[in-house]
Amino acid sequence: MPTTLFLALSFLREGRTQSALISAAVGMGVAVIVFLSALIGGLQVDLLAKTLGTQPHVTVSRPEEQPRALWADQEDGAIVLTRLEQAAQRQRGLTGWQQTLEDIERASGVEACSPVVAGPGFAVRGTVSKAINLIGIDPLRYDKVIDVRSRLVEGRMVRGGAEAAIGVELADSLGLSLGSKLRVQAAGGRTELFTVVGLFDMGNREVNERWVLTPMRAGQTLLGQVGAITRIEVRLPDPFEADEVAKALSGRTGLETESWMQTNGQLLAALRSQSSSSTMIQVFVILSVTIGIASVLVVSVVQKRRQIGILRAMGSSRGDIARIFLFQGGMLGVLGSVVGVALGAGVANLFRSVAVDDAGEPLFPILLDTQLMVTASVVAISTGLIAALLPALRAAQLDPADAIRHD
Amino acid sequence: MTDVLELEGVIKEFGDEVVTRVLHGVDMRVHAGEFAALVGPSGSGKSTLLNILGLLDRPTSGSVRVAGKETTELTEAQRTALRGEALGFVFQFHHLISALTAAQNVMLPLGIQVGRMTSEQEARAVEALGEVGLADRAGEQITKLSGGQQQRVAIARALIKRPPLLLADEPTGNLDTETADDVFKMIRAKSQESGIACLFVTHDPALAERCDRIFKLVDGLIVDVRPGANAGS
Ligand SMILES: Nc1ncnc2c1ncn2[C@@H]1O[C@H](COP(=O)(O)OP(=O)(O)OP(=O)(O)O)[C@@H](O)[C@H]1O
Ligand SMILES: [Mg+2]
Repeated sequence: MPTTLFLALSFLREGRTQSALISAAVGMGVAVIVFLSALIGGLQVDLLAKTLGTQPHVTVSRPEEQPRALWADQEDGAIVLTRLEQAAQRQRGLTGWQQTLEDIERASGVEACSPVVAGPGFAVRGTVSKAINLIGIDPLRYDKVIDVRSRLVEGRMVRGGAEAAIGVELADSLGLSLGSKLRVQAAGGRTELFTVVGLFDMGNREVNERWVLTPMRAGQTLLGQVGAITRIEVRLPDPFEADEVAKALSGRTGLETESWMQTNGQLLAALRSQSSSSTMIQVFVILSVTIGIASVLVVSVVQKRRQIGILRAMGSSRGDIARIFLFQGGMLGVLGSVVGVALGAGVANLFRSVAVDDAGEPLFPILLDTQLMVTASVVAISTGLIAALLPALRAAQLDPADAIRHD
Repeated sequence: MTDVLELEGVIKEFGDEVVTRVLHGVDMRVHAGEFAALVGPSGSGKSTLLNILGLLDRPTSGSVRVAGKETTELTEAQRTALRGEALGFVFQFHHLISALTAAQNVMLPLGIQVGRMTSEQEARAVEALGEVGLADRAGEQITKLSGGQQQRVAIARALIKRPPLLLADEPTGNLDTETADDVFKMIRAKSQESGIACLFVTHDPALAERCDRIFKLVDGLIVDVRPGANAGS
């Protein structure tokens, strides 16, 4: 074994009470980091999944027509705005969109894209009618952008013809089940009779109440948009690149783009502030752990002054002496991270099993992955080394003649 | 006879603003294998001198040759290496590493030299402990040993590498007369056996007279050098 490592371990063993106490302190710090990261990470992943489960990362659509201003000349020569005339209610659709779709598909940072025709309508059954959002899709493509298939609770996805997949809440309120007929009336007055082939639960009440998914052709006919679509929905490998990709796509296609980050500004701000307060707590934990390790080692350097002196007399270099204390810091970090990862994982699992709802499902999603534990350990060990830096330098700089002298 | 230690005009001053000169130009030579005593009143500069020729401290001026090598121009790393190679130390207080066993302490100079601790070194250390009468205490923690035993461990440690020069700064100063006598005899015997020169600082005139030569230091100057009256006893 290297002599310096051997001495470091011997020193740690000699001061085993102190070593144990400081390792426990490091361990608690690591546990806080592990638990906090697991909790916050889990919450954020869950929130994001809920948000992005029903939203494309980027939406590409035709630019909205600008409101037209009507001006009038006043007697005194001033020109006043008398009225803003909104563009026609019904958006004109995208025609010739197949080219655009291919173009988007080839763009970098895009995972999948899917054409959608959508518009408001009513679902009618008997005397009851409900406001709905009619969404005509290409079933093969749509799933790659918004995963409905895995959220089907009953039946299957639409394939073609007059089939519809609807949310469980809408099915409930209209008393529909698989195989039921459903009349849909679009805003333009056209109606169509659909067969319910699938029921989905997207984990969002609004969506479950309003979405009616139909094949593209049926949707276009109902909405009076034959051959045209409303928008192209895009999914990215990394949702946090949505802003950049949206900008790039708008330059590429000349169309209007919107990223989920624009439409969910508040959520993003909340996530960011959550992350930064968690980071701040972790920084303070690391700081206090660092100070703890450093103070133990500084005391040890003072106590071992004469022994350090004799080590120098026996031919140890300044570097050897520094290494002895760096090793001690590193070892305290290793011990602390073992204690801490075990403790943190234990607390997280305990929390997961205690904080449950009536159905026994965890209230808080906790994301405990090995990467987190590795990171926490690396942080603890580097913290130990950094904390040992000052004591190590002090020990290395001791003047051997001074250190050995008795007074 | 070759000299293992040669000092010429060694001056040592302490302090930046108020300078105190402790050594006023020391000249001395210690021959290879010689057992020399260094005596003098308290505060005369014995420890200061020993630190300088032990390469633990640098003189303000003057030249120090250790094992034939001029040391004043050496870098810190070179001085450290030479110290490890050519010098053994014993002090008034044992300066043993309290975290280690007796055998681990004794093997330490070997471990420091090669950078690793090996079982072969440990075997040598146990043997060396046997030679100072501590064969059965090799695995003992230092703190469990008596003062005399600790000093014997320190002697075994200082001699394990058979350095050409042993520097002993009052190694018996803290021991009762009987134990002091034991320790002195042990150092004398061990160094004679291995041909190791020794500079032995002591306040005990009787011990000094048993050395080959006696250097007397007063107020930072060697004022007398003479053979011991009872050399060899
Ligand atoms: N680092 C230092 N700074 C200032 N003065 C010092 C230093 N080291 C030693 N001295 C002074 O040098 C003088 C000689 O001290 P030294 O320890 O060498 O004496 P000594 O002969 O070993 O005494 P003793 O027999 O008591 O051990 C003393 O006056 C001491 O105060
Ligand atoms: Mg002294």
